[in-house]
Amino acid sequence: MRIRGAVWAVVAAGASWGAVAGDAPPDFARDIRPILADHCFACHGPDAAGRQAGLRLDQREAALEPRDGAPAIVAGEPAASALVARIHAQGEERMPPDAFGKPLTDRDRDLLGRWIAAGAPYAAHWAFEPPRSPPPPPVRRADWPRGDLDRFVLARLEAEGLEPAPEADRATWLRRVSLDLTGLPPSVAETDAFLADLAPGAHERVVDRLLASPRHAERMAMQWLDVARYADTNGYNNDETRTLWPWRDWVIGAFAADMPFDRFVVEQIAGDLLPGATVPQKVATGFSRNHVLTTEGGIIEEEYRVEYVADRVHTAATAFLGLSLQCARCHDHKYDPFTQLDYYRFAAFFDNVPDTVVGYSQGRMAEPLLEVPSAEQTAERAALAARRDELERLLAERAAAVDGAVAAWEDGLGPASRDAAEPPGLVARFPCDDAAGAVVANAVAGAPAGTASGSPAPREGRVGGALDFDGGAHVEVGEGGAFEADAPFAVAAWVFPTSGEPSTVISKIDEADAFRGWDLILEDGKPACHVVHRWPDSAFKVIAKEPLALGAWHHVALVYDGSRRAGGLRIFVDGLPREATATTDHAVDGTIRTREPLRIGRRSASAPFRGGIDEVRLYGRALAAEEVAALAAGETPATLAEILRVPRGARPAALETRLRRHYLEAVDAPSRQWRAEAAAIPARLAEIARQVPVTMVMGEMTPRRRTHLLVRGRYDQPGEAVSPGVPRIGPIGDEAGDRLALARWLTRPDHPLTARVAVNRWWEMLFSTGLVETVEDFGIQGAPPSHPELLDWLAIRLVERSWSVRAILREIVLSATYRQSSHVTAALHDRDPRNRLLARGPRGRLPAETVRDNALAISGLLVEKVGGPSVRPWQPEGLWEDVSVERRETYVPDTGDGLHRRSMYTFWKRTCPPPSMTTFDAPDRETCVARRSRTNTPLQALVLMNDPSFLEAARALGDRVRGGAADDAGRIALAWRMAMARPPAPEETALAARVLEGARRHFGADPAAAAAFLAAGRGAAVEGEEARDAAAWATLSSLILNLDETISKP
Amino acid sequence: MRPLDDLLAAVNRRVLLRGQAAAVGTAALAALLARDGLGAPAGVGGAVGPHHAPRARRVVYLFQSGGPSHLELLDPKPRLREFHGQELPDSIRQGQRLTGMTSGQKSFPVIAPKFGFAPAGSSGTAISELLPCTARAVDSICLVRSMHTEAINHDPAITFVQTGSQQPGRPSLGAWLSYGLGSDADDLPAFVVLISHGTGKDANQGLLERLWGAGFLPSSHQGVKFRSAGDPVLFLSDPPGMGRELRRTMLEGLAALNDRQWRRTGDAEIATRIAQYEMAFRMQSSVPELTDTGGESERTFRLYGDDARRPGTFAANCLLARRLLERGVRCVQLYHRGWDQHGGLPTNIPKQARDVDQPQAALLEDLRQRGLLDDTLVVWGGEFGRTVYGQGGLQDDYGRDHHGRCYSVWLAGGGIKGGHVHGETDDYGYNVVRDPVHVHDLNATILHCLGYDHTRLTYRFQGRDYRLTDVHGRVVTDLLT
Repeated sequence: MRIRGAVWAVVAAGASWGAVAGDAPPDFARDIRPILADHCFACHGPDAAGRQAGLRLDQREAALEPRDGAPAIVAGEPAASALVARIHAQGEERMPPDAFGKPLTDRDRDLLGRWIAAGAPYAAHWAFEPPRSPPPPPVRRADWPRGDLDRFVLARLEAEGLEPAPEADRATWLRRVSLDLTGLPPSVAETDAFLADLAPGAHERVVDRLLASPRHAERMAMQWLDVARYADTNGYNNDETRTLWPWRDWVIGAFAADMPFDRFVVEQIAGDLLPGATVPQKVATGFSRNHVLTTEGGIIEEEYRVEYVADRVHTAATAFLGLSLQCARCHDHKYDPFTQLDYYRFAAFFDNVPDTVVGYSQGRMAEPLLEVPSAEQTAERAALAARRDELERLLAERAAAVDGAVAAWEDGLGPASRDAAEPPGLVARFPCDDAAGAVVANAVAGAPAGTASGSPAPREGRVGGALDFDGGAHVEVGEGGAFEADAPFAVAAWVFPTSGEPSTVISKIDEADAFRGWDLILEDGKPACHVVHRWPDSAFKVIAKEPLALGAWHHVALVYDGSRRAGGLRIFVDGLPREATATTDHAVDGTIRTREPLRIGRRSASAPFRGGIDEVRLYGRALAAEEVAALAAGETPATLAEILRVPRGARPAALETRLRRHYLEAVDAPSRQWRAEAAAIPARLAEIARQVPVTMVMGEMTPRRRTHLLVRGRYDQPGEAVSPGVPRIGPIGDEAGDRLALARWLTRPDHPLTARVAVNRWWEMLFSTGLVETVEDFGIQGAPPSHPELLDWLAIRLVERSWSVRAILREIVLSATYRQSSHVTAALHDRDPRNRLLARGPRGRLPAETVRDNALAISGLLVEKVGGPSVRPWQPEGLWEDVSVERRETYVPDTGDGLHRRSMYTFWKRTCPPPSMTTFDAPDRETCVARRSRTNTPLQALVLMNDPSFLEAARALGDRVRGGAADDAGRIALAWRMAMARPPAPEETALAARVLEGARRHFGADPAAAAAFLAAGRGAAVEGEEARDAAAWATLSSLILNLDETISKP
Repeated sequence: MRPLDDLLAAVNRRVLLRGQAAAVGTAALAALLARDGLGAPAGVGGAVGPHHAPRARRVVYLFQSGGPSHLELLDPKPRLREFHGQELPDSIRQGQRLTGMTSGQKSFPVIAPKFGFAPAGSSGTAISELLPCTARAVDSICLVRSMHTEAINHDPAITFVQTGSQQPGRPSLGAWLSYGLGSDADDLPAFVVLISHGTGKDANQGLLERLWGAGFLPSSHQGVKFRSAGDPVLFLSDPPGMGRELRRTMLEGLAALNDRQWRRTGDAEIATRIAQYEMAFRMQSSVPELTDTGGESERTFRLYGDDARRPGTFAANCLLARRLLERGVRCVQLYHRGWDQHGGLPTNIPKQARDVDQPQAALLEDLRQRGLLDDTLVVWGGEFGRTVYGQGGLQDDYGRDHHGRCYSVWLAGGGIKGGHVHGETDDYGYNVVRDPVHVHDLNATILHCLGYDHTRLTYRFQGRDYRLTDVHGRVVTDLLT
């Protein structure tokens, strides 16, 4: 194999660190179980179905059981143990068989033999036993530890014959702890203040300041987003935008309040099931809804619903238990003691969600959904509701007091006004008496008549004649029915349906333009209405529950209040409002106007009517229920003029009422003003509703969905029914109930895993490697802890300190262990390259988000604003088009603050994540990732050199230092202190000055180059001499932002 | 061979060239090279040396995204003319699951393809008239007409082919190869991705970065997309106004300062970073040189066709693929979009076929002429085939739905039996009747050609040793010479 280019993909460090016992008896957990797990358990382990020869070696009693021939293991007697014979055998007898592909080494065989000779002691897997409360061990160098934590570390070092490193200088510690706890560097002023604070407790004061900062909450949330696979899109083929950032903001809020970690777990797993659950507690359950969501056409829904459940199981198990239960989805776990039944009982907690699989173009998110209004939005809604009530009261009072005014108005009407009087708002009326000459008359003066095509035949109607449609005929009206979603309207007609096929009564809809428009149709005989800006995500559809009888006349009407939502539309049949369902209900957030004509008897191309249609009326206002009732009673042909012709004393009460209503609506100034104000409220409420974020949450079905064990994990092969329950882990388990019971079980103080997994994750955040390196796997195949007692001590400490995250972080970052210098000698590096023994402080490249945030902070560009919708900083053009369906999606960078927010707010598109993040090892967020890889690649160099975000930061940093000191040396020193919290060494100043000089020469000789260079990102407007200097400083600043020291925790 | 020492020498040579005092210690370098903390022995660049002598040293995968119809392209079914318009017999359909797009159809009329097939090459393999150039190259390729997959929708199917799992989270084939083989190029990544948009029905299904993602492998194994517009590699170009000389000055300063920091801290990661900046600087020259095909001969453009002059076409990407392979890139993954022909198939499939036919044949010929075909594996295929029955019934400009029960792919080059046809489908082109090849089998065979036993190229994640082929797959030896 050639080695050229080998550094292309060098991965950060991994070498064995653990000492192996010499002649001492092997330790089961450390030496033996890994061998058995890797080489034997696949056929002789917990998986009952896969077990060969009825032998299991993961339990001592079973391994020592008498068998035909020799027992597998005879304690103390390797020679009598079949296991020993078989592992030393040749040919077919040999174990593991050659075909298994994982042969034992001589060392393995030796260890197994010695272990059996020592009595074959088994031990429970450490992680499944509750943490023990170990006393801090004695140490020789008693002056070094600052607390008990350090004694565990030092005792180990002393046992290894190593010394701890000296304490890092104060500025180094400050930069380290600031980057670790807040993800941002200390400012120069903060560094100065700390260096000047020589009073006792200075470190504690810094830590308390950092922990109290909103930046700390953001930093902790940032880590959680990978685990919770948070993203702003659905993933999968169509990858639509979703709104789960309210959940992300809940996480930030939880850390900002130092929410006890047990509550953090409970609310995310089961916040919706807490008594009196609040909106935030429900939002928290978005944790289990962050999974990918397909809307691909043609998918089989149950297949995906099952995948979503599996993803929830995988994520919860990895995040809280540090276990993968995935293996047990198809069969009993091969290594850990979890059966397939355990898996499906655990899955049952997450299976009882009333989530629907969202079909292609049926929307962006799946139920259950929850509105999450801001405080301002809630307040405005309340104010609008109050005002609406008040207006109704004012109108009612006014209505009760206008009889005199109505009479006076009537008396004052001249003859001409009387004849022309017509209730307001009737914009079209097609009596449909005939279609002579293909003209369908419109009885509203000045309104356009319709043109018939396909010759609808005249027939006997409900009011005069009617038109008969045979499936081929329809009527088009060029202008008419041009309603809007934010204004009220009403449509009424008599219909005599003869077919249950989809039948259009009236429509103004463009099927070729995402169904924009509205219609009144019959589906299976049920009246239904679409109001559509863009189907289906900006549209609603309402359908009546009961069908019309075929072969009979019915009066049908739609009354819409202009609120943009399905709730604002009512369907009337034969004069009465009918129960109806909104099968699609999204805010119609744009126009519904279309160039398609109004059509009676058909949509733009489909659903022709069969049967009779009569007396079609369109109103540009909402009709009151009694008005619809009047229409259905056949009364409405009486116009206002006709009412007025009846002498006042002789009028029936109904006519009096209508007259008064007309006066109030059309004449009376105060009523009209109040009505206008009231009429605007639904539209405003709809506007708020459009702006209120809607997020996905968990919910429970009643009665429960029956959960089945799935044979081989297949969605279409249900096995036995199971009820929810937790697996047995060490001494605890077998609890049943709902998700809340699961959450309570997870947060039991004696739970072997939850607290250990949590503190280990924070340890990894601070020391680059967890005490258990496999933070995602505490199972039998996971890595053993480097400092088991320390891990237990921290876990117990977390519970003792009321699960306070900050208490634990504070303890760690103030420890002598954490304060050590990270510098390493070649000898120590050779001895412990990955610093598993902790004989030095942590050092390493910052996480992806922090690499960029650090540059933004140093340069002064960072916009600090907590939470809200995700933002779009610079990204090369065309990336979304490369992958999106029909190349239909385009990334448009923000123009304002969004360019410079913290990277955790960058819009995360799963099929095309932000490249400068993934280049620095951010995962794609399609699945739960508890541990990022740490790579070191040339692509990272290219990002830091050329990504406009970093070039913009370089220019800003250059401007900052130019304004901050008088001469080059002073400016270089300032830049160093900003970026690295330390002054440069003379050699460094000289190197920097050399680059600066080179840049000045370059840009001095070519002013156009300086202008071009300074145009990166949002650009800067400087010219001439200043441009040369600005470009030179931007060049040096870019170098500084590329320095390993700048992008690393010191 | 002592790769570790060789690399040590390489790194130290660079270090020494700059007159730096310290050199990387062996343990430090071992630490640098080991894979992410899981303790397996590290090879150079890649982590796992080949298990047997490889037949191919590199692979180019011509992926046809959307599901090209085997019935119009590679699997002639003469009796379909006689079945045309008839209902698909239940004995053929066997009640298997259909996508939600046609499962509601009341009728499943058989539609005969509108395009003819003719025997080609000395093997006489019948290839569609839509692929005349490919037909002329048929003696170089091994046609598999018995591919099958469980997936019936794009996202799961394409994810399955490329990662061995229908669901997200696993490493892609190219990432596995990068992990196994490492890079053979001085200044190029091991795994490069090229995307083109079909002229038939443009990009009608999505692609996903996970298809070339690293899954749980270290993220440096993810494919690097070479783009036809803007920077070929993201952020490759220096900002306007900078110039190479100033960039060199800046990077020299950076290297000197990083070197000083390395000596101060002893952190070997810094040595790696210094080397990576040097490689980035070299890439800034080598990649544009690579993607600039202006120096290619007229003969080459005649071979690939005029489309090869237009960046971003399948033809241009085939030419680019050859240039990448020549320079030591291990895995070049092309995606050609637009094969999802639920309707308008007779109108669109000739355009798609025209996009790919000449360039893919040219690539085979070009590789052969350069002596590269013998140790380059070429794979052509999509995520599934298409149904023999019409979507939306019997129509003139018919469409076909997704069909996973059979489809066709072909392979060529290193270790592959040319002029050979493997497997057979029934008279309807609906079911495999002989020598089925599952997606896992194809992937196992690809790994085999590259020197890997698919059961042993593993990576431990969350306690389990994962592999590309999950717990399935067998090498299809009949495809191999």
